[in-house]
Amino acid sequence: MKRLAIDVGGTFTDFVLLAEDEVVTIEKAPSLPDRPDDVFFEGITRLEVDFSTLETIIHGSTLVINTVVQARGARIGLITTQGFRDVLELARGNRIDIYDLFYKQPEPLVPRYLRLEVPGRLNFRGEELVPLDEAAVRTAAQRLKAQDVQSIAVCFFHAYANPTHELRAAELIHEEFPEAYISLSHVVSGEWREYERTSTSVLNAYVMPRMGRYLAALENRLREQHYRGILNVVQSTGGMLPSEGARQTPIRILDRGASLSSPLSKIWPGYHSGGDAAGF
Amino acid sequence: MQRVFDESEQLVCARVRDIPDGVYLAETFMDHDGVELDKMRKIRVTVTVKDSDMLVDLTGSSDVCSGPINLPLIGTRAAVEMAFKALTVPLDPTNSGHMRPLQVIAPEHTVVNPQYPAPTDSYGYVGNTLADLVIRAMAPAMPGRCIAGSYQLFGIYLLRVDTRYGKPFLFV
Repeated sequence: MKRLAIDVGGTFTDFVLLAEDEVVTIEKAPSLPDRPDDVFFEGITRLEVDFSTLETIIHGSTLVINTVVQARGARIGLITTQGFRDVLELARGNRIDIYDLFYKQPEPLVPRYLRLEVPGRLNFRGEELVPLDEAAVRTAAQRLKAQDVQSIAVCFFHAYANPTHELRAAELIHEEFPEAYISLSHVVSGEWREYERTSTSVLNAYVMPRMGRYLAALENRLREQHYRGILNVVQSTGGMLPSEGARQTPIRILDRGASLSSPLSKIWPGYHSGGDAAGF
Repeated sequence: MQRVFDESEQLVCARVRDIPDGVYLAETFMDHDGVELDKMRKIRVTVTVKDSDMLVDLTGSSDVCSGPINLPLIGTRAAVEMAFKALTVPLDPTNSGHMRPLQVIAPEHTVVNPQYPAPTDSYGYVGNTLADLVIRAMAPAMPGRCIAGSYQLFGIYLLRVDTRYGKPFLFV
């Protein structure tokens, strides 16, 4: 069985096909930022890969980081615990660039009128102090729908300790607003500290529609070609995530460039230069 | 890499040359040192700018304190260097070449250069103050590049900066 790696960068898309006998075939094509999936399949066609002999496709993409850097993400809303909608804007009291005396914090990705609060409270052990106000979640979902958001981040207090309120909220939002992408904080980043978890969930919601559409298109076209293997996406950590998972947490593939290079240069030093490993 | 240091030095020297030659002063007092509560402690900064060189002399600052606000020399240098770079080339990637035109004088056995076994647990207050003082000293010579000092220790603060919601305010 063969394995195929496809890395879509801003300028070029690289293809590396690894056969069972360790024969390596390489192909390269200019990237098309507006039609990344077409380039994906063009390379596969040029390599003359028989899908029935293909076991795994490993895919790296700069689509997420480019979406963030170019500010081309979705219109998003946030539903959070009552009293805490300004956590995203308050952020931390530090000056990130210490030498820049005139540093200003970036604008939050969700403006205040799209940050909605609902009653319901858990403590740090995950014990319920106040039950989730389901009617309030429905109302919030309807309001965000009326405001034409495409994607909704949900971040409740202490959801890392107990996800039930967030999971129930996702069901309710889906009933009221089935088209919306939903980014749940305990899925995206199961860590304590509200600002960091809220911020990461919001950024995930921001890139979710674009990355979700792209990966779903790839999955569909691969299915049409009768590919039965796995489509894996490279994470920022250098590890893999199945495409279905990556559609839920595209933030995990934010920074694939540096992460892929280092493991690759370890297993295959000759790839970057004639024998000397140089990961970057 | 040496060339990078040299270019950074040239750049920062050009910025210092733009500052009018002169002697610039600023001083303030810490309310106390944490142990001797009835004694204010002085921090004094004398900045001398001559051509492309800057000398920051901390002579005149209080003697070493019995409380823990003493700031070891490495922290003193770091605070002054932070202010120096922020005033000259804030957005350049930092390297040691930027610090070549800067000289820091901090006499031994003072609050800004304590020796063993002086207590130094709460060194941060003087560090913040030093950076603020260098910026304040340079304010008359570098209008538009200097900001007001920051806070030290506080319980809570409320503020509004966005004028869309009303008049800006600060409540400490």
